Amino acid sequence: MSKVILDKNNCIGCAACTIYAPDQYEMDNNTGKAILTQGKCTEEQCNLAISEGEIDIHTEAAQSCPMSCIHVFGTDGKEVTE
Amino acid sequence: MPSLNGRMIEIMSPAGSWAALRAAVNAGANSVYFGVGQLNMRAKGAVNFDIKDLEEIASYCTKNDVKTYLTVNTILYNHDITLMKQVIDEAKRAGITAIIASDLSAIQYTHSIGMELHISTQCNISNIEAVKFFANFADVVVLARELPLQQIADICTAIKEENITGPSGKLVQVEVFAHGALCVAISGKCYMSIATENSSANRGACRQNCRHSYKVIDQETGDELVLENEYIMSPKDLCTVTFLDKILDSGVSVLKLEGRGRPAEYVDTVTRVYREAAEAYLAGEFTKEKGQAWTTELETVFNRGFWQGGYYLGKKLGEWSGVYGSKTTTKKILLGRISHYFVKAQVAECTIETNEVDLGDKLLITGPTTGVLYVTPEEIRLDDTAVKHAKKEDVISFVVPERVRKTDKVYIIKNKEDD
Repeated sequence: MSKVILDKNNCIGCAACTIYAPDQYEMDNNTGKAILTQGKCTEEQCNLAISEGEIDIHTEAAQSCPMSCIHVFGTDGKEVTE
Repeated sequence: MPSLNGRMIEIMSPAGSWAALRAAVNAGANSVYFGVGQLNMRAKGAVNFDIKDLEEIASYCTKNDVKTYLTVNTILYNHDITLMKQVIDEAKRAGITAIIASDLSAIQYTHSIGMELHISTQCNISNIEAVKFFANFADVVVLARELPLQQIADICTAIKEENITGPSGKLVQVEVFAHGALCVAISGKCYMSIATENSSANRGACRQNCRHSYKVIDQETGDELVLENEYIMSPKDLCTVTFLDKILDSGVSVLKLEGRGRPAEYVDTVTRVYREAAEAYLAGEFTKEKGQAWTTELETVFNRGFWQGGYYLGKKLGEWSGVYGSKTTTKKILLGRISHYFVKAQVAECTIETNEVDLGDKLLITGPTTGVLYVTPEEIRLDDTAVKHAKKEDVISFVVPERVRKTDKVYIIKNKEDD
């Protein structure tokens, strides 16, 4: 299974990810930071298991992030977005 | 605060870290400004404070009679409003003096809870009617840094003549940029970074790609403009110390020193110099010769070359940096860390981690609590023996008259021209 991790600590709330992947990311009105809509979120980060077919859209969101908060991992465990 | 016959001049220094904040206070700043978290214009660049630090900042600065200003000066989106209110509420509770804001939502909210507000330069205030508008909310306005000095003077005069007061009932104070980086965009409203790298300057994530060198090519003809200097979007840094008397004659009250992304020794030097210059002005002892000496001192820390005059004196075009990075006349070389300080003997022990040191070298000791301290040891001891030279892995000791702390970093300061 592939996965995506969103590091909330560095997020500056620019909302770029929500533009590139609006069904996957949304802004949290309490913290002003992005979250993974379907993800499991703590104060520090959000995690979500994704299918291989979803890698591209999350990679696009990751590349749009000026703070490099989004990290996408393939089925082999290697980070796609490095 | 430097004052004469009731005239107060406030030196406002940047604080991007605890070391810089303490350096500012020790160097004589009357106020410090800083950001927490993501809603400030240095969200990406500087080492920001956390919201939990506000109480300690307020407590430390209040004890030292220094005012504290929290920047909440990015543009704000709907999803930021809750956080913006939390941050401002916490600042008020913690005893922070004022909020610096530019977005109307932050201006409105700060005013609504009765907290002192300063209007950021991002608001591009360029005329007296704009000052009157913002006086409904704020006691201090930062004027657009592109205004000529005469227009600044006219605004200051009009504030007095028309008795324009802020919420406190006192005359609105005028603040101007006195020293530090300028950018190519009007009042920092720049879209270059977001357009090219999706990284918004107006959300505190400026990539500073305007500081790179560029070529200008006519795509129709392929002709390239012949430029004397390829840094066509990177202005030199503003430096007003040689004509600070004219700036202060205009009636401004607050001198803002730019540089929240700069290290503590920058903050120390710039604060000390402008404090001294302001005091000299008030004492009637401001001279051109002193201005030159102060400039030489300012050149020892980060600068892209100085634009002596900025927009204030209406200088002609051409004040471009001509360099990527700093033109500083000195450089700092990491030597090691303080491993112990003997309080009674006033002796510091330093473990050399890299490079070598000679007797006579000027040392910079810096850390979050120490701030900035310069010392040129008259004697360096190694294994209880006075030595003239020490190298990597040596543990040396020398007298430091003020307390320094374990893990403080130690640098050698060298003149670049000595290389």
